[in-house]
Amino acid sequence: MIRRLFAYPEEAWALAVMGALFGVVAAALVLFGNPASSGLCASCFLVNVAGSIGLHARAAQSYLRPELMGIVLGAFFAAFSAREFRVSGGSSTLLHFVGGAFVLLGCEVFIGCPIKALLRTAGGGLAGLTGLAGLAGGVLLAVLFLRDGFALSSRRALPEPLGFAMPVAAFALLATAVYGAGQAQPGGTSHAPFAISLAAGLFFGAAGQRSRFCVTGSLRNAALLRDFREGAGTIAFLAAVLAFNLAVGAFNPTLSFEPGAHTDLPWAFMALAMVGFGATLIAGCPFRQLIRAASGDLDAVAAVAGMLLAAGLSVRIGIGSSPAGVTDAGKLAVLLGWVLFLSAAAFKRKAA
Amino acid sequence: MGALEGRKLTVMALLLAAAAAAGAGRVGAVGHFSVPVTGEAACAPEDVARSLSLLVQAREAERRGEVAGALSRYRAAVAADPRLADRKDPRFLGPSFERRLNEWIAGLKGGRIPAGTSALPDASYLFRRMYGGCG
Repeated sequence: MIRRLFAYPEEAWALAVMGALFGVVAAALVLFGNPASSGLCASCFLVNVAGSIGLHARAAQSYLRPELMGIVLGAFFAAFSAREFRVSGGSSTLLHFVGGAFVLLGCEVFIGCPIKALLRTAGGGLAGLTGLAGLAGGVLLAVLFLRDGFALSSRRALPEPLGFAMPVAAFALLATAVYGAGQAQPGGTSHAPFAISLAAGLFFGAAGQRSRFCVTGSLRNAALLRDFREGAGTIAFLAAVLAFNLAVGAFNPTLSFEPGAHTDLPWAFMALAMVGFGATLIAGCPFRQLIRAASGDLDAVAAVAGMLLAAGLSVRIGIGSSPAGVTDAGKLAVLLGWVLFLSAAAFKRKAA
Repeated sequence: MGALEGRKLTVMALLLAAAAAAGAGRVGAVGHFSVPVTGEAACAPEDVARSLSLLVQAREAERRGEVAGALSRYRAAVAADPRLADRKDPRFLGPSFERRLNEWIAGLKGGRIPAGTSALPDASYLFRRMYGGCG
């Protein structure tokens, strides 16, 4: 059955099993020490890694997350072994870079990527649910433009060695972490034990590459193609985390007592709506971009580079939200993200 | 939905982009922007001093049994120096504060602790700050 899961992940039942496994592993990482609702949060992990490589200097958000390197290496090995490692690029690379940056900033204003929105919702967080509603709204709006001919410029094959940049960088960071240079400092971020985090990251990467697990992608496919298979994975993820939280007593329906969240619901909605809209245009939320980048997609590498720089910038200039609320810099970033993505949607359509 | 295509969709996108740009212009004009202090210092010295003063006031209010007053000052102290609510930081208010906060929350929710309308939001702020986030 495990072989079938990895070899034939296109069937709805297989994607649902993968989604449920994703959810259980993500929820378990919190029990092992990750921050609340942050068993799997690509944007949070990018912020942590940005801090550990000096892109920002807030100790409480700096850690060379083994999960992140595991995701990249797991996806790389899965793509390579399934002969899906194909190096390509040149498809609106600049939009990927800038778009990736704004998607990350939107996540920071909400406090979490779309996967964390699922985790927060499954923990009973009403702000998480509001963000999830915004995400769905943003994806549905983007689908209108996809239906009407929005398309990025076509991708072309590139020399294979270029595709190794991302896995090699992940391996180098992992080696640094193993030798302790990037380990958390006193006062640094909460985290699960290193080996457990790495193993979970490798699973997320490999399973994510095989199953194409993507929250925004599953919404897009359901709305655009009436294909609900990936949606089965997303629903199973949510259900599994909800069941896990109920089992361990971590389900607490609340607005004001959601750990690490703010209660500025309109901006939570707007921020993740921008993320949903933008991620649909550039073909992937932060987690999906990591998987694509590890599979040889150099446009996704540009998106990851944009996200990493934005992660540093978000902390440096105070764009990211805190439980105190959304900052004016955060509001500005969300609005400018909307301007960028709506302009791209308006002008990059064959039918327009 | 079906009617929204072609030129209509372009116009809608441009109108929404213009509205977002206008909003961004307004936030840029009237918003408050300040670069947060990070790194070794993590807090400006004046904020650290203010947070210590607020902590003293909070503890005095607590001794007098004024839960609402204490919570409001603890909140202001944490806002001035967020490390006070960081359980991994040496400046953390401590497990005993964590326990008292959870007792106050239970008391405020159950109506056992009489307090003004701001007490529960202050307590929930401290709770959210203490548990979770990206770090």
